[in-house]
Amino acid sequence: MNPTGPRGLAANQRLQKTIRNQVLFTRAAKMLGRPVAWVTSGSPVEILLAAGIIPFYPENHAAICSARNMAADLSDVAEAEGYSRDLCSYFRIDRGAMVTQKTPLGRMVAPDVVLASNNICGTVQHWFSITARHFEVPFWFVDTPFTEASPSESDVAYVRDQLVELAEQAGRLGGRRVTEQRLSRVVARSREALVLWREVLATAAARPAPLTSFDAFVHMAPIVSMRGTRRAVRYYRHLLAEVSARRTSGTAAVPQERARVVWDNIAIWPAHRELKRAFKQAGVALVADTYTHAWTVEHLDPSDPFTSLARVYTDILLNHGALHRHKVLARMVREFGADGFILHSNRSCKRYSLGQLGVKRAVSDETGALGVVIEADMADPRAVSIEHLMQRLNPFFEALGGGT
Amino acid sequence: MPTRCLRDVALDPVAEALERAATRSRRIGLAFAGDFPLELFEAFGLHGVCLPATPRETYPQADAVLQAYTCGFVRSCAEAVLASRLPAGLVGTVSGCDAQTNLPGVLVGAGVQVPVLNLRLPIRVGTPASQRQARAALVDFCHAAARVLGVPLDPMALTQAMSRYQDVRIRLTGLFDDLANGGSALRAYEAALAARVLDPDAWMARLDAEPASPAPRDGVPILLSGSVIPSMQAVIDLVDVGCRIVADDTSTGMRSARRRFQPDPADPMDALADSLVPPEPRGPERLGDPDRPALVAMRAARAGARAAILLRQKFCDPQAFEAPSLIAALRAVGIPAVVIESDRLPGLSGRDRTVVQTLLEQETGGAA
Repeated sequence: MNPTGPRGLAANQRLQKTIRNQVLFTRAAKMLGRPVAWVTSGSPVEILLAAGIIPFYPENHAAICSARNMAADLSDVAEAEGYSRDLCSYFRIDRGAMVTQKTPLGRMVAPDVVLASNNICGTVQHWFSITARHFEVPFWFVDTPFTEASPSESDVAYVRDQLVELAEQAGRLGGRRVTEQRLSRVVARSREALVLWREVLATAAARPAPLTSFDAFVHMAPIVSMRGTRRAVRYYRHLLAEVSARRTSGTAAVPQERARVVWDNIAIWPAHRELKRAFKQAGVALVADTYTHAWTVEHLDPSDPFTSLARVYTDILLNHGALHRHKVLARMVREFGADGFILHSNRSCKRYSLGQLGVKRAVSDETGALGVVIEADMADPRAVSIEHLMQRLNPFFEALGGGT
Repeated sequence: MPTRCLRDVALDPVAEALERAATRSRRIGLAFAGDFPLELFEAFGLHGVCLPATPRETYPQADAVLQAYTCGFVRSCAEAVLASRLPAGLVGTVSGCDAQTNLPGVLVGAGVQVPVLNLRLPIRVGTPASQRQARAALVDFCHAAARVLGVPLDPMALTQAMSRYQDVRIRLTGLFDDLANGGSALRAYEAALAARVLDPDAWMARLDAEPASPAPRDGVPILLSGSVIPSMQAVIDLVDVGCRIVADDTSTGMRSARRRFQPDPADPMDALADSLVPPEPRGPERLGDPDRPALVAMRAARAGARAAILLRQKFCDPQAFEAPSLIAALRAVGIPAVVIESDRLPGLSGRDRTVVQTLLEQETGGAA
């Protein structure tokens, strides 16, 4: 056991390098004439990759802008255009960046096409159509029927038909026909990365946890923005090796781990560091979260790529109602041996947040774990108060047996 | 018990729904979206009611289960079910914006006893695939409704209800089309709101029996846009301030009234599906014709509108996303617009009145 040994992940540096390389790769590919697509995090990018189109992720970009303290200024630009402050902060940040061309990535790579799927929220259908209009490029959209339970066969067929149509369009734009064989190879790489990522996250079930969701929130970047590539597979092999070694050696992400909790919703980027520090000081390990686990789906099947992509992209967490999310959260509480759970009521994400008050009651009743709801925003620092957050969290930590 | 006039029904739709259910000893099928086909409820022996927004200062039950950033419309829908004010046999919701889409899970999670079913209409509309998906969604809904209600769908009742509701929508379209020719906006909106609560035959009878109040001849001609109008009182206030509504782009009004299916369809479900997913008319919550703002602006200009009022529910994402492009499209045809945000007040606030008056004065050089 090494409960007080080195806590920082060596993979942090690799992550920075991987992201930097991804940005450079996208820029170089564009210069060489490869089309670039701005896509939502829940888009079936495997089809684009098979067609030779390079995806770029405005949601990741907005999160990076927020982490670099650019969110408020960029949001102001969108709000001055008439977009309400009640709208998603990722959208407002991205819109501000689009208009001003200000970005922490050096410069923006303009899209040749925009692709969105409403499997993560309804916001993206508006956000990405506005983006397409701004750049005067085509807007492709995959409509995934929302479901309380599992998607029906007609849902899967509906989405599959759209994916086949998307493959034809993407093949024409990318100059590379999307054959089943080609798509299978990309799907196989996606599946491998997803499995590795799931194994990475599963290591946090160990006591003490070798990594926390604060690490996962950051190290999810490649699974969101590089799935389907060899880079993502290589990256997660290294990360899994490192966290597995930490688990074996008993290296704790949180020294003197006194309590374990699960998180629901997107991270609070403007308070990420402060919260990570506060959890560590209180001896509370954030061992799992519904957000990063959303990229751990299992049914990708390279032998039937279109149907399995249709099923997977319709069946993701945020395309389900509160009843399903309650079951997922309760399962995580049990599997990760959590004493409590935190529901981030995120002003920017109604899809994720509405229903949480009922979920809190249901999960507590089912698992006996203590829950707390905290109000914040994933990216807009003007809607985040670390003092208010800690006023909610400190008594919660104490009730769990943690606290300073 | 005296029959309420259309205006009174529009001002207090819940009272009318309660009375209707009591009079005919039938439970209510309660819909929470203008694009929910009430015909389906009738086919299961329920009274179809599409509850309009009922703004209030507080929603004690709904506020306990919904975050503060939920729009007033969804909040008032949730309150109606959670407070058990209406004898509902079935609640029908429609996939649309994130708040509406999440509502069934919220209600069931809150432990409501009434079955809540979601009609999962496609978001992308105007394509053959969306028609097929809409049909599948209708069939799924009917199977689930038959299961929870314990009665099968009555095909004859469905066909008759489709025809009766279509007659209502045709009359409503006429009222809204007539706005540009001097028709009364108060008449059109009270009729539209009452149509969501009254039985189609009762609605027709009252419409024919009540003389329309004359439309004001003066006032600045305006376009009224928005999803669910906050209440009849909001329309009364706008007219009172000096607006002469000559064009409508609301879910309460034309977006719902213009839904159509071919008469005597061979397959009622096909016809219903067709009527639910055309590219136009629709609101911003669905993805259809990308030129919607330009189309709305063109219609407003044709109707002679000189200004536009965008009624927006606070926290309504689709409207908030569309507002800048709609304002720009209106401006491009010479129509200035303002956004009036509604939340928990039924009518216009003092501030809203001032904003509207300023807009109207701009158009009349201070003579409004």
